[in-house]
Amino acid sequence: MIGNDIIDLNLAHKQSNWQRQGFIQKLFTEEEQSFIECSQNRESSLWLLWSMKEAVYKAVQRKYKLDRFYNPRHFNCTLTQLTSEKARGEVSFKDEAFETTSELFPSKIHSYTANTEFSYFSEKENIRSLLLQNIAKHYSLPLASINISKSIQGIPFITYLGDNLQIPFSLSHHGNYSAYALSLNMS
Amino acid sequence: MKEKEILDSLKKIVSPYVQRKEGLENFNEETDFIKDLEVNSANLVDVILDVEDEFDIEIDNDSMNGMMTVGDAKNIIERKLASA
Repeated sequence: MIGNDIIDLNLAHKQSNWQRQGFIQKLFTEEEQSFIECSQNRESSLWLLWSMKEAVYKAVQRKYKLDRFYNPRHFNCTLTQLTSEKARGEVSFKDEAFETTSELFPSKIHSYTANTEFSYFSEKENIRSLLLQNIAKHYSLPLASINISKSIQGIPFITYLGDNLQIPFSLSHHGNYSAYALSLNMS
Repeated sequence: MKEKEILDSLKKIVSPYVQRKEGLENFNEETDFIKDLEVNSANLVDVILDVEDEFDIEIDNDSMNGMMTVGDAKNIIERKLASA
């Protein structure tokens, strides 16, 4: 199952006083806290881990049709590869581990779970219609007949003439950026 | 502490993080922090930390887990105050 999360780092800097007492302790495990503490840019490291947690939260919520919850420390991140442009890692939730990829930029971070095709775009473009166009093209369906609806848990799904197409995807928006992750390889 | 005082105090606490200000007009127990007020998920922890400071309580992870609405927060605060 798919989850993705985009973070506008300029907006995050304005929105969150991450240095306040308790902020990091409530969101991150001890191992994650020491990773952040030891990194050169603590602020971007914490948002990298946060975007991994958010992406996997969305994936598990969708997979198990869970009600929404807020327990960031239950999503345990480890990084397997980290360069200035890309991070690969694993996020475990309960007994399950999910691989993630993160693309790192000076102004944004985009994380998504394994097996996704993805794009990110600026706010000016409508990410929902780009997603629908992509799906219409891939399945040769008329664009006017496909739509995005939401389940009672608030999880979006794509419909064709009202029927759920069961296409795994995830949308994310923050500040100037919108993103989606999509898998077209599942039938 | 009366229910109304808790709700008034919660409204004051959450206001700086609210991105959808109309959501505050009809602020009640059903009000959802993320859906109705569009509080950023990373700012939900600020709401929790501010609640801890304001009421001098500690909100553990299990309590935090279900804090989706104003009513959820109110119930947690009442429970913590009662056991303090």
